[in-house]
Amino acid sequence: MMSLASFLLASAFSLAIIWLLRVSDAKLARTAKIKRMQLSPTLRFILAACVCLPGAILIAIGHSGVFLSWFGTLTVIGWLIALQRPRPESSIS
Amino acid sequence: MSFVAKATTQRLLAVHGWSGTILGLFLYLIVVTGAVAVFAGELRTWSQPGLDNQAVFDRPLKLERPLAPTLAKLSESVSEAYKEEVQISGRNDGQLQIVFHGHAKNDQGKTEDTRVLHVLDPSTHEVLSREEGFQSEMPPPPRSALMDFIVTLHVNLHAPDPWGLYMTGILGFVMVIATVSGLILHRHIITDLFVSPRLSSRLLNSRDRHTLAGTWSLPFGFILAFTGAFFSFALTIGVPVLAFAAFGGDTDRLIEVIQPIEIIAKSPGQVASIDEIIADSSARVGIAPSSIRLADYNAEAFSVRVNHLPLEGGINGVSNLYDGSTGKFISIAPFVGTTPSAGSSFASLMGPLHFGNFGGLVSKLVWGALGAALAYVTLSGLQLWVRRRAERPAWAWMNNTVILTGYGVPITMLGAAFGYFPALGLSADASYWTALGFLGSAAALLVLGVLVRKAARLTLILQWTMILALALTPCLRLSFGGHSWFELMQRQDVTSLAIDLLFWIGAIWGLVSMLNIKLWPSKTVETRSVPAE
Amino acid sequence: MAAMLKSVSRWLLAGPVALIAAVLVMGGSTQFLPVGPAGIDNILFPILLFPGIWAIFFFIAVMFDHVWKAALLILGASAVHAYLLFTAFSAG
Repeated sequence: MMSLASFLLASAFSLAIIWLLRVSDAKLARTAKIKRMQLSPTLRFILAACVCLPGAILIAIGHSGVFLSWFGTLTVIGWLIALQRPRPESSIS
Repeated sequence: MSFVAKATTQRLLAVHGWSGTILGLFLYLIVVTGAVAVFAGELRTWSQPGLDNQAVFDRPLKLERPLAPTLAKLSESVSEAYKEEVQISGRNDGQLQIVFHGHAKNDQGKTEDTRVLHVLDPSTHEVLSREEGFQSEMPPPPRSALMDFIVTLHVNLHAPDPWGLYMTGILGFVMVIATVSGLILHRHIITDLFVSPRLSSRLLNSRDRHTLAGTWSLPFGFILAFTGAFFSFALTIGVPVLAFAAFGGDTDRLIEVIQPIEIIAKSPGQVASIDEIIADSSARVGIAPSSIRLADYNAEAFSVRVNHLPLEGGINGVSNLYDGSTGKFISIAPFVGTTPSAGSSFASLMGPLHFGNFGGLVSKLVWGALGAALAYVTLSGLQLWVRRRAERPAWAWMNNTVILTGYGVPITMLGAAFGYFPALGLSADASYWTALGFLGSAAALLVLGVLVRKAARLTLILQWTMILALALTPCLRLSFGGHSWFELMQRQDVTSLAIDLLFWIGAIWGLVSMLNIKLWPSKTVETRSVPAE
Repeated sequence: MAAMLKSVSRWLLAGPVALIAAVLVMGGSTQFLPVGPAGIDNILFPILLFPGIWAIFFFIAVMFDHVWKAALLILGASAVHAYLLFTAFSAG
């Protein structure tokens, strides 16, 4: 039960940050012609490091199985997040 | 920023593209069957009434009575020739299994494993059946012919050994090459991580879809391909070559070195209680064992190895080694060899990394999703390759082939189920009819591919076929002797119930997509776009 | 003609030659890899890493600009490990 809880918590934390990174992504904003959340490159770098934080904790406490499940979840859900077509702020001709 | 020269990039692109194109259709088959095989245990229970695969894979042994008296009683009726080893484990159908092992030369003069196999009721230890003879003569354990078919299709494409394993090994290697070449080729892999597929052209959209899926799937694509190739080549190439290199060609000697039977000094006249050993091991690990092995059992066990499933959060199970004479704990047994080593630790990772069965249903769901993502990468790569050559008539057939394969692989697996369930219900040869169902639906799809040349029409027919097959599969299961939903709830088999529902959800989802039914209003503004598919 | 020859030799090198080289390296490396505490690491690591060894030779063949350099490296490694295999088998 504890490993399920740690898996869900770790995944939710990392995926939330991945979502934040997406909505503040400069290249996505440029290609899709949308406004983005303004975050400095330094902050984005720190956020990217925070994505990996749960994984590091899981390895440190010996939950290598949960780490693998967390990592796999990130790659699949991260892809689905990235696949979403962004909503334009205004209509595009 | 480009890490490689232009000419090298062109070569890598050729490698990435052509290897994926030539072998991509088979690779797609392997990936899809692999994603299904992750759930082999659950699907076995779902498809074969009376099976309880959780008894073997996800739960410890249910030891309701002391084993020592049962073991002593059984060994009285077993000759010394079978007492090289004793294994105690669970079975697919929830029964307990105690097997005495030996070795002898068969009719062909080859040394083969000999057994006395006892199947017991786990509660009363009453012997339900007893078989004696060579391993090849033993009746197979209770199984689901449908899942055996799909798993074997994944492992060796049903081709005879070693050719089938060579083929799947090569496909695994191709995927390793594709992931590494994809990583080198994708120059902006980090900055493109969140760039959703662009709509300015169909070709660009296809390319973006493939690269996005490929980028996110890269780590596990590499891991699954590498471990898969390892499993295919380990026995077919690895063992013979290493036996040649290290033991003059003696493969038995190689296996003995890697998986030795621990010999511990015998204490004459002493026989430890197997039940006390199990209790001690369970207390050390925190869960009951999943299986027990007694080595050189000859009324006095030299060594007892108690195997436990992975602990919560772990990857590998724990095996404790005991002196069979005194019951003294010796050590935690490594995965291979007699002493923990880097090689043993590395070897122990291959299974969990490939099968994803270390964390119960959670890890299996993640691995199944990874398999689905990799199937998308493979298929989208094939689509991209074909779309780049759309103006060349010679490639039109390839476009239809990709469509046929994309829908065809899941449809033929459902075709296998259409052969399996009626055969099971009518007590016919389930293995035969499962294979026939698969081949028959494959043949029907090939004929369809030949007759229907227009891609759009072919796609439409295949989509409707898939929806129908998904909707009918649980109906077939229920109609031909499968447990009813009431019986499943009584057996607390929520997983089988969920599998039935998933088939119907899949069918409904397909129907909703096909009929373009909007389940909720869309808030996005319609932009200039080209349909992606 | 020269370009075609270069291309054919490169793809031969990347194909069957890389595979044979990987098999030879897998076998021959058992002779010099450390055995480890259990005495079996020199057997385990080559077999576990076989797909990786094959991939390395493949990418050497594909990515080196000069085919002859790639050939020298791959065939040289094959020759050395074939010799190690031969001596191991002769001794055993």
